[in-house]
Amino acid sequence: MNDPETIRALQPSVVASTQARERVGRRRRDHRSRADRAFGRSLSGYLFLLPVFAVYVPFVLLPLVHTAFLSLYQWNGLTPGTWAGFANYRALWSDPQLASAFVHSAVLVVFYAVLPIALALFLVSVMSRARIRGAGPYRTLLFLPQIVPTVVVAIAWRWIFAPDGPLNQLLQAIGLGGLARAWLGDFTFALPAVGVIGTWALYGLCMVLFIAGLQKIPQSLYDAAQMDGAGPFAEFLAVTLPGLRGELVVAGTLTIAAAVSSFDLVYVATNGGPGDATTVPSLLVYRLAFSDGRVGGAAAVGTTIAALVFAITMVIRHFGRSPAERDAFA
Amino acid sequence: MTSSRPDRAVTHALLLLFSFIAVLPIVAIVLTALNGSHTAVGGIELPQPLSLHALSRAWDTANFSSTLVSSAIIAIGTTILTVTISVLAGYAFAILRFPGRNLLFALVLVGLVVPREAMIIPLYYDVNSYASFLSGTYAIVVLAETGILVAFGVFWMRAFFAAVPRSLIDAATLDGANPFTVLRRVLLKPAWPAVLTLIVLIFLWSWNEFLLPLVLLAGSPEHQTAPVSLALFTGRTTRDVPGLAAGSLIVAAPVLLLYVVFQRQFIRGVMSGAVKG
Amino acid sequence: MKAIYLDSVTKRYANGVLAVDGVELAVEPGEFIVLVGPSGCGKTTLLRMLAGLESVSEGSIRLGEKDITHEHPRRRDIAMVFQDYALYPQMTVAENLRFALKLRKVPKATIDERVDHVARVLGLERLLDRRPGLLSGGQRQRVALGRAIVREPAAFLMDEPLSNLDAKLRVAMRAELARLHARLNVTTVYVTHDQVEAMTLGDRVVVMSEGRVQQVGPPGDIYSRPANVFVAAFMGSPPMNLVSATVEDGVAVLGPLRIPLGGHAAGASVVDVGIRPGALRLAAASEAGAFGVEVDVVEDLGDERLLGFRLMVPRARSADAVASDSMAQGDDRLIADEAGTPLVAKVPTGAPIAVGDVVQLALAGEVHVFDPATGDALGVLAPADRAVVGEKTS
Repeated sequence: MNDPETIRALQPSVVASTQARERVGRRRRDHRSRADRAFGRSLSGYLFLLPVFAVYVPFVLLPLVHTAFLSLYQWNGLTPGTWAGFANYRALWSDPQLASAFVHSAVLVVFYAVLPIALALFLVSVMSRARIRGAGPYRTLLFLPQIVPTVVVAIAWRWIFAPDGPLNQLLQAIGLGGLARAWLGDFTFALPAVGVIGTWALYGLCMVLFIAGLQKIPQSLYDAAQMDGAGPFAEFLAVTLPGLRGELVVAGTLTIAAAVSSFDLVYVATNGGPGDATTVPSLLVYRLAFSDGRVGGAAAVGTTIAALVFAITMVIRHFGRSPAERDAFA
Repeated sequence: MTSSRPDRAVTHALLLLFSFIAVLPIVAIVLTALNGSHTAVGGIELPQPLSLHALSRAWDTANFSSTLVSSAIIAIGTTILTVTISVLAGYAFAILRFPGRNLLFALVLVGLVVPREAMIIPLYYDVNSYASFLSGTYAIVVLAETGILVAFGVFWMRAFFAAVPRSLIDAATLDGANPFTVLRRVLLKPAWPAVLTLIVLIFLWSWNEFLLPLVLLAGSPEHQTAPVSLALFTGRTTRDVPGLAAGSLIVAAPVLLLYVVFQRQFIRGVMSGAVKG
Repeated sequence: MKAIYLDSVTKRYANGVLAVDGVELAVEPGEFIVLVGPSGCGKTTLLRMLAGLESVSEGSIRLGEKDITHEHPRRRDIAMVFQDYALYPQMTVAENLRFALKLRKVPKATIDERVDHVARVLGLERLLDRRPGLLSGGQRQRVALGRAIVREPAAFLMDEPLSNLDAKLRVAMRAELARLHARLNVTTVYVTHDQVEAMTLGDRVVVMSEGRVQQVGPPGDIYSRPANVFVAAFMGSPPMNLVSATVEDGVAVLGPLRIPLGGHAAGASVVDVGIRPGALRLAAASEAGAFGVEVDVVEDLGDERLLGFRLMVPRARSADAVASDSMAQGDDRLIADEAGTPLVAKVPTGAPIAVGDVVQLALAGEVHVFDPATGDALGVLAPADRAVVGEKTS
């Protein structure tokens, strides 16, 4: 094996194998440090998430799933429940009391979402043509309804709507005394009255959102619209509305979600009354589960509320895609 | 601008009108609370005589002092827990890399749209059945509120951390810092304004929380929070308007005070958090 | 009849600030006129007053025969190209182009025809269905141009349309604009802070400062016959060298240089003298009029070199009075200290020159003389009509 031919033949492989050995060594070392890094990263990443999921899973996700599960049963909360399939869901439109609750929600959507957004858009369209500086103090005041506990809001408005409250006094003072009534106790007007409270509570939020959004729209777009010959309405459609796209999505999502699950306010203001005139789904959940012993039914309503809110959010996000997002899928 | 544009005065007038209406009911409550008479107060009148009588009455009758303490305990507990969890998770989602990061984040975001009505039922029944040591305690309320509020908290802190220049983190990593040290030493100080905003928001939302304490503390009224107690108090005394108003003022006072001090944080927090979502 | 006539146009803000002060200007039909000046000089405000986006405090504006001083922008038959293009982000290129015409209820067939034509002229055909977000800066700029062209207005207004483009693109677009103007021949008022753009694009240039017109004229005149120190210093790059000189017997003395003023000084004892960097050339030591300087900066530009040196002469007094901002733009190195006033010579590439070398320079071009108190031009001395008597100094 020591003849020159063999040695020469072996040499490249010796060199190669030495190099290979070095490479492997390096790779093993790299591998260790890279693995260390990746390993360390992965592990610590999950560690940081442990607390959040330790709370989120048992107290939000699992209950959500469990609610859906419960909705398939008839259960009174005490004795074992019985399988009911989709009966609870069918009851949602066959039982007039349940069905009307969702109709009431739809009405509230107009008051909680459509009106506040419309008001805010009106304000902003005026502001876009006559900009002011220093909207700060107004912002603070406009935002106040969002800060005050809903109980207090309900109490305040119960007093305003009271038979001898300021609203009726005002009506009498301007000669419309015939319109005075116990608003929150009136079968026809209780729901709109609750709606008005919602409008009051939410329009400030929408305004603050839109005012901030307006400031992000470059003035040059308005100048260009002026030069192009746009009147106030065309300017609103071509510049303001598209410019507020993001804020509209947020406002829509927040307000509609508030309308669909408006427990606090209704509970304190009217507790669903008079009769069922202001009963909303969220109130139904409470009543069915904790007073009427119809937990399965309550769960069905609850799941439906969640599904509705989720669906509406998805729809709003779809229609509220920015031009960039639309282009990405073009 | 050319003369056909509305005056700036019109903008101010509109803003003034809307602000006034937004504030009016609250102002009315405050004035009524300071009204001396026992009877139902009709219109909005200046308190005559101006007195704190209604306030002290409400305080004694409804035992508000202990409800305020309950609310405070729960709110503080929720705030500490939520903010801590959110900072850790937000940091992980924004900076660290690990498989399934996007999926897990999306899962947390679902919490932003989950209505309380959809989870309250099992929460109540399961706690009573399987963890009865928790039922009616502050702990269960804190845990439930935290569960719901971390969705926003994580979203908020992640948005903040994602905006931190990568170079800052890289520099620290090269210096040998592990992820936790990077968070603690490097990022906590610049994160403070965002954390402060979060603290303020979580406290507000926890204080105002209604359905969760209503259900979870139904069996132990001695632990009940102030807003819920007020609602129950309302059911019993519909005629004593100044008393109700006084109670309202007491319940709202802490968050109103917080708002006065931290207005900018509140508004900025809700707005920028919302728009980024 | 003038295409645009500005008569004592003034803009005064509520706090008393005069953004535009009594501007008189007559623009010929089809002319490409450039308003140039440093930031805050009022050129953009003036443009916006022409557009109708700012109100006019005093004076009047006529477009052709029509007085448009207080008319709403949409009644002015003027189109504008904005610095940030201001394209509607949610509309496609085609929709952006069509927008103004649709608002004016132009028949659809006409709109389509014009849009197609403009798209072809500007090379936008393949971009018509895209939204601005997907376009490059240069493409957006062309759409902004197209939007103005498609309206076939009586005049174009352009507010620094090239300033958001990178350097190479800017040069290319300058040529494009020139070609477009030659083709369309629409009266154009163009605002820029870049004096190179002003010189290359304008039929006439309006130099403005602090709300007032400093000089109006063709680029050549502005360059070689500046009306005052401001114009002299603002136009031309690198800026004109401006120094103070004492006058002895009708001869300006600046350090080693003696320049006979030929009566332009009219009895003054001190004048300000301006010499463009390109008016200095390398000379042989033996030449009459050559003076030696020590080079302290060398900038090699390829086919030319900039040599920085100092002379023991004070800076021009009137130059100091003129806002130091405009002249310090990009020239922070030109700060006078005890070593003398820094000056610049522009010479062709040639034998290498290093920092510290002593070179011989001579006057080879025009010398401008200014009144030290007012900054007004007193005269220009062409190489031919002066005999420079320079003393050789170290």
